[in-house]
Amino acid sequence: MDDRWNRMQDLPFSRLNARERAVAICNPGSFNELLCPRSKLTSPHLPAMGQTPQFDDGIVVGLGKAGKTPVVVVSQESRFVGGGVGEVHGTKMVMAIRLALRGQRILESRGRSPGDGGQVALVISFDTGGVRLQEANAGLLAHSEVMDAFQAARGKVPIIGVVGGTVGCFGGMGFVASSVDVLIMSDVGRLGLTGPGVIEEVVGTEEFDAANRALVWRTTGGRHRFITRDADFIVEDAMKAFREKVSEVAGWPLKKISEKRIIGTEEMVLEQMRLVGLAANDKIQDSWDLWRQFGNKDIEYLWDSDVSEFTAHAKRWPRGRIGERD
Amino acid sequence: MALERLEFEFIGEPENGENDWEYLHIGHVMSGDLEILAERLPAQANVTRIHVTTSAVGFGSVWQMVIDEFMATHKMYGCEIWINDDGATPAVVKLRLWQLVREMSAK
Amino acid sequence: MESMAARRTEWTLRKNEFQKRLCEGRQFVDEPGSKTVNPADCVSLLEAVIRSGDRVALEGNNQKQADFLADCLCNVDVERVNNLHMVQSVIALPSHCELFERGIAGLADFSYSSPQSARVAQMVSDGKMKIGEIHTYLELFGRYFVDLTPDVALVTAISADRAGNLYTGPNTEDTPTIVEATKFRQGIVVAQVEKIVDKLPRVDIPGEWVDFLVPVGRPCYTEPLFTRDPALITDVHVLMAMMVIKGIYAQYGVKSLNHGIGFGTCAIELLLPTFAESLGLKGKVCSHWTVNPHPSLIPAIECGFVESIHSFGSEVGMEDYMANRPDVFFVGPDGSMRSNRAMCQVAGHYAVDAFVGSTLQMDRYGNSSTAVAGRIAGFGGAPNMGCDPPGRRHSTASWLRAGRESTMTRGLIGPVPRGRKLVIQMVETFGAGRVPSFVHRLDAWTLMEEAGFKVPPIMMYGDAITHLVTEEGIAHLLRCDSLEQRESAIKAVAGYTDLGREANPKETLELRRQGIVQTPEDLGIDIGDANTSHLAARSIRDLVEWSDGLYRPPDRFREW
Repeated sequence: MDDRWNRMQDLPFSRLNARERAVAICNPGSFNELLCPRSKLTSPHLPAMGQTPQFDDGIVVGLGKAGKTPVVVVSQESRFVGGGVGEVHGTKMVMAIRLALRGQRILESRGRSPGDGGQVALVISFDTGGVRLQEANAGLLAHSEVMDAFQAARGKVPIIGVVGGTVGCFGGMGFVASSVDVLIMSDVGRLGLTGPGVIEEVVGTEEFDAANRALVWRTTGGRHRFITRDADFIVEDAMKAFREKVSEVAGWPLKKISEKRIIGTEEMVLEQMRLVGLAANDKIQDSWDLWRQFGNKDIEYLWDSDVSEFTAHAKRWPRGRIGERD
Repeated sequence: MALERLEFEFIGEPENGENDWEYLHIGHVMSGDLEILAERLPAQANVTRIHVTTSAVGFGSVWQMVIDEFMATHKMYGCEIWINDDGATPAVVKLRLWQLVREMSAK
Repeated sequence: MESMAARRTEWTLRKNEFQKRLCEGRQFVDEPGSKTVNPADCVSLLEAVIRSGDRVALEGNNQKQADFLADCLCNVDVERVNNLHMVQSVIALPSHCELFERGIAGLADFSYSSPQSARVAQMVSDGKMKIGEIHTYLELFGRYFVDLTPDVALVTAISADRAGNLYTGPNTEDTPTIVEATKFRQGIVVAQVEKIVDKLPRVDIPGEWVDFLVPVGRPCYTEPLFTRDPALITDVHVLMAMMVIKGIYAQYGVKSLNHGIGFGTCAIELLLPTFAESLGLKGKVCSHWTVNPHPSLIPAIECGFVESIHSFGSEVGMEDYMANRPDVFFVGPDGSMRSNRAMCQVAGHYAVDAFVGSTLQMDRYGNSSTAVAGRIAGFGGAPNMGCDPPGRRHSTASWLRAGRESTMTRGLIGPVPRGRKLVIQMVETFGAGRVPSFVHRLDAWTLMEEAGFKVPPIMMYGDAITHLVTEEGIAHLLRCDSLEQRESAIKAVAGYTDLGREANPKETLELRRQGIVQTPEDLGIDIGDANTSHLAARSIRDLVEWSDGLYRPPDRFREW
């Protein structure tokens, strides 16, 4: 089993499936899946529409350990209906967040301190287009329940988001991923609200060509999100890189983790509005104009360099009012 | 548009391999592909039930032949196999079944 | 002796006509003595040098397109210029069809029209386009020098100098062939270029052969036709690729070859540094290639499998990589690669051990076709790659062995030793949407009836095929001693298609015993182990890494 775990560490994160990501983001042998495929908890809606369900409804949840921190892991599978959130999928996600909170309370009641494995963290690997169209009502409801559960977890359980799959994170889940405490992306990962295909449909191919993947990635990809500070960290598309960063962050004091959040207070909202104001400027025609605005000169280099060089040289949005917090 | 459910049953002596697995799961439900869940029945069981759920309606006789070939080759008696299929070709079905067997012997 | 026939006295009619047109065209050059025409005057230029009924070679390649000239030709006054006879290798762009919709052109002789296949079929049935014949590339090029010589050639190059010398760069493709045929029969040659420069990196077409230059200010449209994303290769492709490598390449010692652009051959290319290497095949197989610069060949090149690659055309994004691998690619003194479709077609026809391709449909006799009802797609170059050239006389180990095994040849030429090129078809028994690939009647017959062809458009005839590879196994068709046995061997690997279900299990066992049919098991390949983790690269990004960043994929393939 550890063999398999070792092999996965050397693979690109984007290539692994949801279950492999969940297993490999935890310490070797520590992950235990809840409601695994064997429980056959499938979507009650898909069969009615002639669509084949999947035994895990496209999401893997379970318990494990990341470094010294006990974690509840949620991992979305984009191969199944594009990672869309349906009723069962959403419920598994919500229950996992509640479970983390409950675990935290139990540890606290036993007098365990955060330094000694007393801090439970929640790790969510997003790989989804948002609401599953075939069960949109249940999916929407799940989104609001997740947001609600996030609120309940605020200041109690740190939430670490991970975006590095082939679909990325779009639709309603784009909001959810923006509401986590710390967001880790790779340059393969994409984050946005409206998916590229939908944007093209609305504004036309001339304005946004969704088949131009380079354009899509420089508008929504990890490099851009790191520069605009929607993502706190950018790592290489390697399982090992994600695991190490998650373990590191999960071990931080709760306060430090919570400070990384980009929304949640009026001050933060105003700060985000300032960025929107910048981006909506006439001079900003392309994400790269925004990069230049932040003082980046050799754009081609930043675009083609590997992640460590990129991180070392990229000039990020100088967050004014709430200051630099790196 | 409804899903088609197919049931297959085979009876025979389980082969005495040192199979140390309780259940196995491979694959994903996506266009042209399938997932397979295999669960081991109690040691003495000599029946194998295969349950197929598929979005491609009307291919029962092809499923029968592919599964017959699989059972004739691998003699997987004593388990329950669940397949969720989204229109995989016989080539893909066969490949996934053979991958399942390889996974078993790896365990 | 006195001849009964009247003596011909006029010998320069074509030349005179050329001079007349040249004069008329020259009123649009930017200054006296120049060849340069402002793009805004290009439509007028074409109206001046093209006459109704002319044969026009509008450069439409697999990759690069004379797109600006095509647009201009669409805008000529149809009262002045009409009824053109287009002689071009590929009908690729919407503007190529527009010419017929507007009545500017009426007749087409071409090779390939897959990008516009539905529209071509529609225009034929509406009577807007008449098809002379559909050719293979070499056939059409051949006719350029016999009875389809163009009166006017509209070509494209990267840059030109003021004397008209053209630099075509890596995507040379058809330009030399078209220009040579046109110019040496006193035709007019017009070239669109991105820009005019003082000094060209190299001269691909001599300036004397070019009459007018149109500097367009942008590169011509070029299609990255040969880029396959390794992420789209399936486990089934891997299984079939393993069978080809172990059951055919290793057995025959296939050193020189051409690959089609399917995912099966892409999988083979990506298994060379891994699976083939593990079989000890480096240096023994796949060293010399006649293919476009497939990005999926990068890992095999980097691992030293590949000694040389000559190409029909280039591939967008591969330019720097090729320039840095001059030992492998055909690179000019200027440092950039040069392709040539005619030369590479000749090489792929005569000088390779094997061709591997794929098809949509195959009948019980092994005839295969990519024709689909309602679509006219043409042939391209595949039939010349996928056949045994009767004119071949040099030998290689693979050629000799395949010849020895070709049982049925003896029935025609007696016991004279003769070699054979391997022609391998990789076919999944069911294609997209579970449509069976093995059929009782090819759609080509329906298309023949619809389009009024004289013969069904067969891509490769059954007698050319030496090996059929499906996920069920390999049928060594060359080892069969009768058409009947070939049918049985085809059925034996046709899986669960209707045709495959006709296979007689007893007969199949006998074919396996004789080595005519081999299953993965017979080849020692574990079906359960066939998966994409064996591929040397599994994404475009992996290919970029293999190339040390020299390969720059087009924007549409960059997913990071």
